[in-house]
Amino acid sequence: MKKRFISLVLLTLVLAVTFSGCTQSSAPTTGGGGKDTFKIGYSCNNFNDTFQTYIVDAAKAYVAEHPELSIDVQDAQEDVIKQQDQVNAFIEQGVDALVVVPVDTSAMDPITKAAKDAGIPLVYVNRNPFGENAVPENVYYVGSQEVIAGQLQMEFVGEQLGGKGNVAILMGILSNEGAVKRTEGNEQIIKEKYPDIKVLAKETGNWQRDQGLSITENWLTAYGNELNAILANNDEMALGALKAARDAGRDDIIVVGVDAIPDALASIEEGGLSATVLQDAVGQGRGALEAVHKALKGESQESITWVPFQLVTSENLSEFK
Amino acid sequence: MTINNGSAKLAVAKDSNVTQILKKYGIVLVLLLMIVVISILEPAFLRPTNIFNVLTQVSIFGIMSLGLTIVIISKGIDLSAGSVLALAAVLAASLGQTAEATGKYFPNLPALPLLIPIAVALLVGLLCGAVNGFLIAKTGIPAFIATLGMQTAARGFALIYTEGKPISNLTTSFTNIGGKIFGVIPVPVVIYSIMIVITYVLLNHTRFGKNIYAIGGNIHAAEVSGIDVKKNLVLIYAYCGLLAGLAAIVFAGRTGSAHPGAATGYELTAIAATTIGGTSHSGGIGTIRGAVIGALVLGVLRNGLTLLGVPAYWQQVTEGVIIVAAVIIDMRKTRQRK
Repeated sequence: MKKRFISLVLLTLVLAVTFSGCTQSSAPTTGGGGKDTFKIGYSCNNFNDTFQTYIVDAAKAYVAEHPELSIDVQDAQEDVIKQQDQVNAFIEQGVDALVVVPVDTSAMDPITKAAKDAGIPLVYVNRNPFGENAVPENVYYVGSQEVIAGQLQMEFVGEQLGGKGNVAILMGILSNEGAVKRTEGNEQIIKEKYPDIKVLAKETGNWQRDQGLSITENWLTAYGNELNAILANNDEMALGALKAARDAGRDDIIVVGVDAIPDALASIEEGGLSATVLQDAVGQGRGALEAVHKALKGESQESITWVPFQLVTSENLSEFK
Repeated sequence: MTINNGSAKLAVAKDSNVTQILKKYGIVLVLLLMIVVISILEPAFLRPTNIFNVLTQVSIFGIMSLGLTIVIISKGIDLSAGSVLALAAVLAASLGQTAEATGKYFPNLPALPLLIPIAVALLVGLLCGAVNGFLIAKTGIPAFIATLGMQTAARGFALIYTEGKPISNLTTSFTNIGGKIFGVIPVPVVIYSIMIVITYVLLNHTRFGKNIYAIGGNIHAAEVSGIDVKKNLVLIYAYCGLLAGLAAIVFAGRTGSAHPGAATGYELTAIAATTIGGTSHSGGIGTIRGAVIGALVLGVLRNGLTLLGVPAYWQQVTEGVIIVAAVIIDMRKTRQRK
């Protein structure tokens, strides 16, 4: 029993040393006391979400440019409780500011309160937990208005179809704000501008390429030539839909995505996807860190920073490559 | 049955004929019923291209469910199959990119022969499975825990390796795995069919197969009767891992890319398929035929709900209800047998 216990302790120590070794190189630690350096705790909703990794990269790049900043990035794995625990652990560690990509935008009150009690600035990124509500003091939001991405997509598709035709929508995980709002944006434009365009189907591909592929195969069976365009909530699903359309010999179907990931840009270049919408990951990641930095230096700023979406098509592709 | 009265005997015999058919083919009847109903409501369902679509869509979790059937018959569980798939897929994809791919993993590497990524995926699956089996056999921790650990760790390794980003631009020989032979028969379906036959033979016509049933039926009795339980457990989980590795190749070939978040939760779909097919979680009972039918039930259901235009939210509810209902029917079957 004793032996076991000792080996467990040793194992824990070895792991702790190994892992701290991994992180320390990028994080110059402060000597405490005089605050000339700042440590930032970053809780990401999910490392599996490709787009989030670009935001994290941009945030890290900003930190690398500013030697007085250091950052610790953690993965909440889409678990809202885990995210709360992470934030509390950050506060215990004595971080000077928090950056949070909400797992669930409706469940952020405890995190907002924890930051307020600790008296440190908090920046939410990418997913807006406040909606129409006022943003509390010392709390900031940096992101894009998801509904606009959907609007840009549908305006493009509406023009391409000449205001007439049938579309289908591939949605992300149904409880995500991005999925709900982008789809809402699609439907708003149809309602306001293109009453002759009909939504044949809406289904969730859970942001995944393989599921977008399977669902589109089934749509092609169900709707055949009636289907003119597919609007996907993200590029991964759009690329899956494109593959299904091409495999079925349906090069006429217009497929559009969101995110402008490198694969999608390459696809636009070779005439695959018709368009994608750039959600500016670098803008959001840098924007978040700039907001943190300003707050730490005590500079005043707007509580919400909107990072604009941009439609990417073959015409303006060169600007984004 | 010792009833002497002739007519009574006849009645019993008749009744048991019907119940026997229900017992034996319960889930097959459910599948046929689903096919009939969907075909009436949407005739396009029966088009050959759609049938092949269903079979292709089934093949990835279908291949996984073959391995899970063996594991569950041995009274175990493997929660790591989806994550192992992702890890095998990203490793294989990084070695299967075209020479001029943008965002290439190994920039100086020429396009490698397809054999290399395939071998890597199979090896990774086999190794992860063997580690699962080894942990269960040597430390005696529950399979649930060992494979849950592997689920988390393998996903973590996939994320570390890719830094969270998808790997695409695979060679044409690689993406051909997701294509069709003679433009008709999908390659994933061929691979799935071959694995059905191999796994069937393994389970029904080898000593290894007999050992699996014996271990699941009563592990102590199996040990006493001279079966090397530990060795067999390692082999069982290694085979399950190998199939996850194979599913990874099909996955990457089909989507033309590999994502570290790929196939999240697929092990649960595979477990559902196995369970719908009548494999009992109390061990020792289960068939490959059942696993295939269970996978088809799920595939037909998903395809059918889309064809019929059932709203996305309701599809999930329907799928959940059907899974539970199928197992209830199946449990009645085993209870009656007692």
